[in-house]
Amino acid sequence: MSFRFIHTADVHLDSPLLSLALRDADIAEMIGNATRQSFEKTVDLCLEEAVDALMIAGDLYDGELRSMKTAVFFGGQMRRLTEAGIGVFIVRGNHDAESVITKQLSLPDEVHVFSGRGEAVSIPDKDVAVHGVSFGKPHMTDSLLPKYKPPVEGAANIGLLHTSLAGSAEHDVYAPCSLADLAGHGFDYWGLGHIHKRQVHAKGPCTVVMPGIPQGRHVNEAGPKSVTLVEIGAQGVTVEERFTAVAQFERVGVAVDGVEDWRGVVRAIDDAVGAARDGVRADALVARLEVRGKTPLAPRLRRDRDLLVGEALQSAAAIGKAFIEAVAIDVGLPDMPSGHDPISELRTLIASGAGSTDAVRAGALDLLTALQEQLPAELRDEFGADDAALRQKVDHYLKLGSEDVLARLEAERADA
Amino acid sequence: MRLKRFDLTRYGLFTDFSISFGERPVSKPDFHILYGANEAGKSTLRSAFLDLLFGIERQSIYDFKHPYPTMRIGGALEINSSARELIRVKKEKNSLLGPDDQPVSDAVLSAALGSVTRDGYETMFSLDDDTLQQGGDSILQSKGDLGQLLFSAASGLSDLGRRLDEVRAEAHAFYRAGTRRHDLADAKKRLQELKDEKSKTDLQASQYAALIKLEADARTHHEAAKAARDISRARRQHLSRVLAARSARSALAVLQAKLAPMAAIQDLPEGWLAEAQALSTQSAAAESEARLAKEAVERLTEERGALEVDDTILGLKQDVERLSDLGLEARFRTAVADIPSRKQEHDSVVTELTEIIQRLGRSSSEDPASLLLPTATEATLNGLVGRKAAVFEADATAREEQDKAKARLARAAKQVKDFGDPADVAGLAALVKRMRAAGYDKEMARIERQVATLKAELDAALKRLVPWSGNIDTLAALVPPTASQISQWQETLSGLEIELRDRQRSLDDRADERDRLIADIRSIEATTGVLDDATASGARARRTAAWQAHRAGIQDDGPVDIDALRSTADAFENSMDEDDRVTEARQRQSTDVATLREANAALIRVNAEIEKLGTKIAAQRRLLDGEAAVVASAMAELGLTRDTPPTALAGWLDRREQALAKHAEVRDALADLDAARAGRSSAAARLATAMTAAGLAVDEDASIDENLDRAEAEIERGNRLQSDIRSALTTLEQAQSDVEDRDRAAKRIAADRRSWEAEWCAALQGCWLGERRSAEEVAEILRVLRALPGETEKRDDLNRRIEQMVADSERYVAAVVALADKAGIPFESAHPLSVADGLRARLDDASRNDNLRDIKQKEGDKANAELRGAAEKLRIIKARFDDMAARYPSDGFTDLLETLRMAGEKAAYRAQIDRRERELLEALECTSLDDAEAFLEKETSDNHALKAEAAQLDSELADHDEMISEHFHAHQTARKALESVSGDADVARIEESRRTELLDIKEQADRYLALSIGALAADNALRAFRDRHRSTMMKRAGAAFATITRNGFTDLTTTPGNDGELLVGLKAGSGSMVASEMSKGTRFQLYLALRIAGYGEFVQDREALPFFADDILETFDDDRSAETFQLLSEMAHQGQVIYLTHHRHLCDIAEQVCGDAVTIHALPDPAAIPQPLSRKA
Repeated sequence: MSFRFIHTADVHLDSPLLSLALRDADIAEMIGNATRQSFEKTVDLCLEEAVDALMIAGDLYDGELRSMKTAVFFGGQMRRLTEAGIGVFIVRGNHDAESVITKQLSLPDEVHVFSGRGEAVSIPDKDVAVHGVSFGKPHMTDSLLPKYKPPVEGAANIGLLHTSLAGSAEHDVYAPCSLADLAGHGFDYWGLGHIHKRQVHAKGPCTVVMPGIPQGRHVNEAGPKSVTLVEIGAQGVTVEERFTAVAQFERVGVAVDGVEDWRGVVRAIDDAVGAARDGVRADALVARLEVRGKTPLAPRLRRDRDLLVGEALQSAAAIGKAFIEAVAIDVGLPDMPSGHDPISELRTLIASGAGSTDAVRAGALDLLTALQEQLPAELRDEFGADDAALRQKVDHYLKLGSEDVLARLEAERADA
Repeated sequence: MRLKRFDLTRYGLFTDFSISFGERPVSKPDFHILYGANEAGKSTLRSAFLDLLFGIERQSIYDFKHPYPTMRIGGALEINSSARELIRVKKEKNSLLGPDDQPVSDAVLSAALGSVTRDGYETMFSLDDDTLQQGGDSILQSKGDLGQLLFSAASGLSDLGRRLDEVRAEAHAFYRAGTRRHDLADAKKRLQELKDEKSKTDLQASQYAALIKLEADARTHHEAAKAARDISRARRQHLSRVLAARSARSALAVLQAKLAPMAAIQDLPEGWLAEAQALSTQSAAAESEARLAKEAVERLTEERGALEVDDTILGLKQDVERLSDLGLEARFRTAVADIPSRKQEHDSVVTELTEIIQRLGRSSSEDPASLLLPTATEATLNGLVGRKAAVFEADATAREEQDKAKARLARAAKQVKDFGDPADVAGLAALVKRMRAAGYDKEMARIERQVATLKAELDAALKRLVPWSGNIDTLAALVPPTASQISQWQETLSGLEIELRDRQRSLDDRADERDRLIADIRSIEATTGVLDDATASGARARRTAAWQAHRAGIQDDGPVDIDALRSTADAFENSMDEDDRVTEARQRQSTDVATLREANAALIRVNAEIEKLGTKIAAQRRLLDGEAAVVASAMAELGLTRDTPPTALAGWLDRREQALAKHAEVRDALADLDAARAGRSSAAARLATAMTAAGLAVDEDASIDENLDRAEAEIERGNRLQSDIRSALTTLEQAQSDVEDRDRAAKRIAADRRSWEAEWCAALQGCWLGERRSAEEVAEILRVLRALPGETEKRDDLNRRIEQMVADSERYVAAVVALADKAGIPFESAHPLSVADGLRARLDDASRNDNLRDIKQKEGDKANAELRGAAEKLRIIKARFDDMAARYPSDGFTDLLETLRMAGEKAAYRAQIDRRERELLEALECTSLDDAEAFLEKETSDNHALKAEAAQLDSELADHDEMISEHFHAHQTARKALESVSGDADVARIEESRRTELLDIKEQADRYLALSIGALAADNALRAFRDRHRSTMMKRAGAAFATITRNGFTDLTTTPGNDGELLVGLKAGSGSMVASEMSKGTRFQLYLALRIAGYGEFVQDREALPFFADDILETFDDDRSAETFQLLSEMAHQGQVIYLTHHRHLCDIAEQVCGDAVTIHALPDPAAIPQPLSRKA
């Protein structure tokens, strides 16, 4: 007897990608709505592999998701599985604990959504028991482990649990528990969810898998993303990673130290993007370029960032299936000529506070708050939600802006 | 940076020139003055230095001696304390070279130059009058922040403010307070659109729940409405049943009451009533039939008995009918009518025949048949008669035509003979044609015209040679001077004249200068009253004398005459005052004195020059006059006026050549004319010969063309005659051939006539006609003979027909007689036809009656059959009636039918009752009438009330139906809406677009804030930077200005003006002056002060650059020059200062002021260098 299933979690269906790459309509067409595309790939995988079940360990939807279209889509995917005889087991996590849309959707009988009380579902022909406890509300500060029933004798026991594990004190904790606690419960496999980065723990006879998010949604969810194909058989538990992402986010560093001409920079970008593209496990790479280093071109790079972005886009287009979402430029001159260059003197003046007098700060704050008022409400807090944050932002822009403006003046002079 | 050695290897007028500034002085200023005369190349030097630093200018003007590819400058430079040997050549790239001539990067220089551009350098640190003034003016005239201008000037960085504005403008593209059109506004609009689109497209869970609820509610309502309707409908059905049952029950009662009295009546077998009715009807009909048939039988029997029939004639029926059938009777009738006329006809034919025979001259007894000719003979005769006329006529015609042709031949022969032998004009015609083409007369006229035209042109050409006059031969004989001779004259004369004019101009200049000097001297003497040396020495002598006089009055030991002493003292005082005044004045006006001295010396020099020039001019003029005389005599020799200038001679000689050429043309034309004349007369002779030969008279006086006209007329006439003869000969030929043709035809036709005559005799001999009969006779006999066979035949035919008719008539009469006999009719002498008619009439009557008798017989048979049929029917009907009457006793059909109807009625009632009962049971769904009765008992309301309720229910039911329909549709709609919710990704994608838009806005906002706040910070720092530099600069500039003006101005400050800050000079004591109002010299001093201050500011933070100044002290007086040199010398402590001048006295002043702190270098004398021709640097 062997029991095979796909384990995933944190699907966050229809949660949007956050990437400036999507400004390009063609790119948006290709990789847009990636969470959904990725979930379809997961279902395809279930069908190809003819697994026995699909396990979803929480956070199928975002909490704020209200669109019934998502639920209808999900229902359709569930029917694909159940029509192929594949069972589905779902626990709700912090995000979809109170999801309104699942309540309205009628799912096929073979889709089992665990309640908050703790149940064990036996799969008769397979000698498998699936245990699960759903979040009843978004915040579950206590461990859910006590709600799980003891393992069923003579059966393979699989537990589905949405948990932040031990977590760190800084972040909110969700149904905390330790690996040791889990291993001690006596199950063969713990299918976890919540943490977006994949982790696999083998604790004696018990395998604990945090599968990670199946589709990264922004650059902070970079790297290859996957679901886990699990087989429980006579030889115990084997675990295999299967890649499901449509687009893979990566921060791609471009070192321009000592590069002296523009073509050298372009070449460095080509190399970096090419290398990153080769390592991608998804259909496409979405790269955030981080151009770093000390180069005499620094002022020009800062000033001509639009040209540089153009070069990066061209490079990505040439490489194929690679998109650039942003180019961060953090470059400096190899050794700033100290001394009596007027720009240097200006820089020194700014450094010594001539560019950040109270009047300048007040002016900057005016600019910031005037803009803030005009921004869409969703963005306002990004630019400082309270006085302290606003002051911090002013400092940030004074520093960043002075450098940028000085770089421009420098670059113009170099051109002159 | 410092210039240690400067090489102008090939540049401008310099070749391999090098100047050394030596090592940097350790403790004294690095101050150099380059002295050189005008044109020594000071400006060149200054420009060369800029070229060394920044590259030789693309459009350099210093290539007048050494072209671009060879231009080369260089030097030993000290940059950042290290020595470099650099060379600059003129090239687009790699123009800076090292000592090994290998390219060196310009970065070597820019390390020291920093941001200073060529323009900046020239404006600030490489000054001449122009750049000093331009730079200064731009400072004063520029609007805006003076601090910025000074700063810009000092740093070489300008436009920072403008660039910051550009940065701000870039930021403002995203957002700008107080404006509406910017990227942010657009982005927000897009966001709102996306939001709207999303809410339009989306279906939220709550909405979905609402949809589900709507569907459920609609379903509930629908079902409830249906239930209510079902109740009403059931009640309504119940009411209908009760009402129907009640109605059935009352009908039943009525029926049963009607049925009760009919209990005794037997039940009617099915179909009996109808059968009985049918039988009754059939019985009546059958009886009627029987009666009618019987009557008919009787009547017919009687009628048949009454008929009589003639059987005798009926027995002869066939014979009688055959009488007319065989046509015998018809032929009899015809014969009776025709025979007399046919006999008459026969007689007339016989008469005719007799006549014919008589006309043929034969005996009337002769058989006409023997007169008939055999057919062949007749045909031959007919043919011969027919041909005869043609044969004889053709014979006559042929002979006639033969004669006519012979006559024509004779006429044609005569005509040909008459024409005789015509003259041959072919030769003449060819000559005439050739001479027409040559056109001798026209050619003559043309050449004569040409000669006249050329002669006129020659006259005109000669007239153009005025003032020369004479004939063409004289003109040709002239020997004109050669072109080189003329140009030599021209050159000599004009050279001399120009020289003379130049000398004269020099003389005038000298005279002007003399006048000016005299005027200057006079004016100096007049205006300043210059005291000359004599006056001065006089005053001094008078003072000495006065002093001696006064001193003499004071005796050391003698008495003192106070009054005398006072007087001499006063005198001494006066003379001393006067001397002082004179001395002071002379001292004060020493310059004027020097000027006066110089002027006087100059006047003497000028006067000497004037005199020398005058002598030279006189000599020159003599030379010129001599040359002019030579030319004049040459002109006279040519026959021209003496004063004709050599320049005009070339034109005259051209015209002479034209006249001579025209003369040659006239000559040629005259020769042509002679040749034409000779040609024409020989042609006339040839024509005359030819015409005479052709027999034409020649008119010696007429022109060739006239003779030609005549010759042509003659030729034309000759041609016409030839053509006439040719046609006459043709006619003759035709006539001869015609005569031959006619002879042949006449012979042939005569033979024809003879053969006819032979045939004729032969034909006649073969028949009774005999020989010697004319054709006309024979023709007539033949014509008469042709009627003979017809008439004979006609006669025979008539005979046959008459015989036939007689035979037919006899046969008919015999037949009639025979029949009449058989029928027993006496024939006697009655006309056979009337007898026959009588027979036929008897037969007709008999036949008719026989027929009638047969018909009656048949009708009688038929009536009998009918009678029997009717009796049979009646028997059957009676049998059936008897059957029925056995059940329903009755005496006749009427009775029976009445009884049967009663029985039928009873059965009908019975059936109705059954139906009603069934209806009742069905309506009430009961099985027995008792049950039904019990059911009806339960409903107590009367019918009226029930009907009212039913009507009410009907109306309610209609309402129910409407309600149900409504709810049904509502439910369907809700169900469809629910089912149509799809799982498409549109909403998710819109949301994603919206989030992307937000990210985009965030990024742009980030850029906006970085740029706008960065610009703000940079702006502020820039202001601080300028303030810092301005304050030190203003201090330096103020001090320098005070020094240069020798404290005429003590300091500089700024004051706000309309367009920004104004620069103000503060005067010693009190008062101030805005820079723009200062005198030109003072302004120049101010400009220099600003430069000196700028230099100080510049070198404070950076490596010093060599400071060049090119004679900028022109407007400064010696003192101010001295102060300036002092300042420059001080400046030279900070960096190398190089002053270029052509004023010796400035070198002196500098040496006085600076001592050995200044090094004076002399530039080579320009005279030693070949002078540039026209291009001046």
